[in-house]
Amino acid sequence: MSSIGQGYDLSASQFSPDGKVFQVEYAQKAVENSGTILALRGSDGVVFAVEKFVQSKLHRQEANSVTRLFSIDEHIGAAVAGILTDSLALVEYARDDAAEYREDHGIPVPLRVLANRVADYAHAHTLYSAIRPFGVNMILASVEAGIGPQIFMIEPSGVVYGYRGVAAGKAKQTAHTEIEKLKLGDMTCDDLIKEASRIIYVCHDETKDKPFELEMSWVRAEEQKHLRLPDNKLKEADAHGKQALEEQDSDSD
Amino acid sequence: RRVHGGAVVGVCYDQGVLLAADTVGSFGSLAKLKHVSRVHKINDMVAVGFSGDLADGDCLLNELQNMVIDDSVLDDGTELSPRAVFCWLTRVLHHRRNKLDPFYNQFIVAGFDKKANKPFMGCVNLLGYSWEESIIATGMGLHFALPYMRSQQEAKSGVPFTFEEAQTVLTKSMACLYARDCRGWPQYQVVKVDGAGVVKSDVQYSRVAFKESADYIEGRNS
Repeated sequence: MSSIGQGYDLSASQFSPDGKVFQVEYAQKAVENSGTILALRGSDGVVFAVEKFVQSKLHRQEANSVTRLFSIDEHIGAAVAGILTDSLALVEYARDDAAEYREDHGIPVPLRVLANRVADYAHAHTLYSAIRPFGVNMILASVEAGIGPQIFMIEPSGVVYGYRGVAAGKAKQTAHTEIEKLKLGDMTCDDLIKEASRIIYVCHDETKDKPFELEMSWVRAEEQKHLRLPDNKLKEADAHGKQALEEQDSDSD
Repeated sequence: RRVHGGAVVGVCYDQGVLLAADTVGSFGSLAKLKHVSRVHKINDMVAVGFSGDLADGDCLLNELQNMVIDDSVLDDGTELSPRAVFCWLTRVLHHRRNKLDPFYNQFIVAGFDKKANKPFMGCVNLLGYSWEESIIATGMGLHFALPYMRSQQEAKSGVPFTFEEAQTVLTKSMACLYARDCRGWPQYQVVKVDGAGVVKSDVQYSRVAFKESADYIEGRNS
């Protein structure tokens, strides 16, 4: 990206002469530096996959202490790309908001309501010089009775769109190309976990990036809850991804 | 006058705990609400039952349910233990007692302590006073159920009830409460807590035969 701020990039309260808010653009850059995340909407639910870079071999995995997958309420899952601490703050806001909705309305918050409220919150951080935007892309997903599975993604600018499949982070272009090839509507979550894993493995750049671990979760019509993949399913998906990568490598030899 | 619930009865057995409460919400002497749930699963280790003011009881139950959701969303492998729920209720109730604005309830907390691998049952009242026991009855149950439960327990000489014995004690206590408590109701629910989890039964009914007064009753068969 060659355009320089030239003095219009010092705060989010300023437009540049060509109509950009540079702080927001820079926040988007922060997301582009992060590991890839993706979500796929199938016939019976939504699958999340995360390319989680292993920062240190000393991390304790079983405490889920290093994770980019979160539950907002029992029925809503979130995957985040970007600055991790910004993500944690946004996740906390989403959780509080969902809990408040549940208290006030007596029902779990509908996904589109939560997505819009979190997006408004993110947008609010693009209006003032005293605070900076969130350097986070947050993908939210749920399965709701009468509506079915849904995915929404919130960007640092505060826009939120619904998707059938979406990716964010380093390899989002490659991932989107792969996602577009899939007939998502015909696939179940059991199919999608394999595809999601394959796409993460294929998008991972071995030469430039740190080694990664595959993190996955799903929200299915069956449980109507956001859950991490059971161990056997994760192993299955992981193996599929590794195999697909080997096949691709051997093809290109 | 506010809507209130009757007795809650709890019996520990060797592998777990049984809690029962009838499903009526009384408005003084009026049986106003017939399908009130006064025993509830909190999570896989804990159940609670409450008697007294139903609005206050529901308020605290709602708080507990929100705490459970917070736990599950955090996804760190921990959940509220029976003692944690027991302690929390005691502290909240005692705090309100100190402000002379009590939650007008008596709670029974029933759970399975996974660390100790033992059943747990405790009672907290509106004063914020709490105690642990293997047999508990709140409200009118203190007078009608507890003496019977005590005699059954003493007959066991320190050996815990088996599941079947606990069920019998519970069923008879609930039947006695329906027969003797003016605000009693024959329909009740039972929650079972053991190492495998918490199971809430479908509604059950007390069967009471009023043998002594049969002669005085004129009806279709007389």
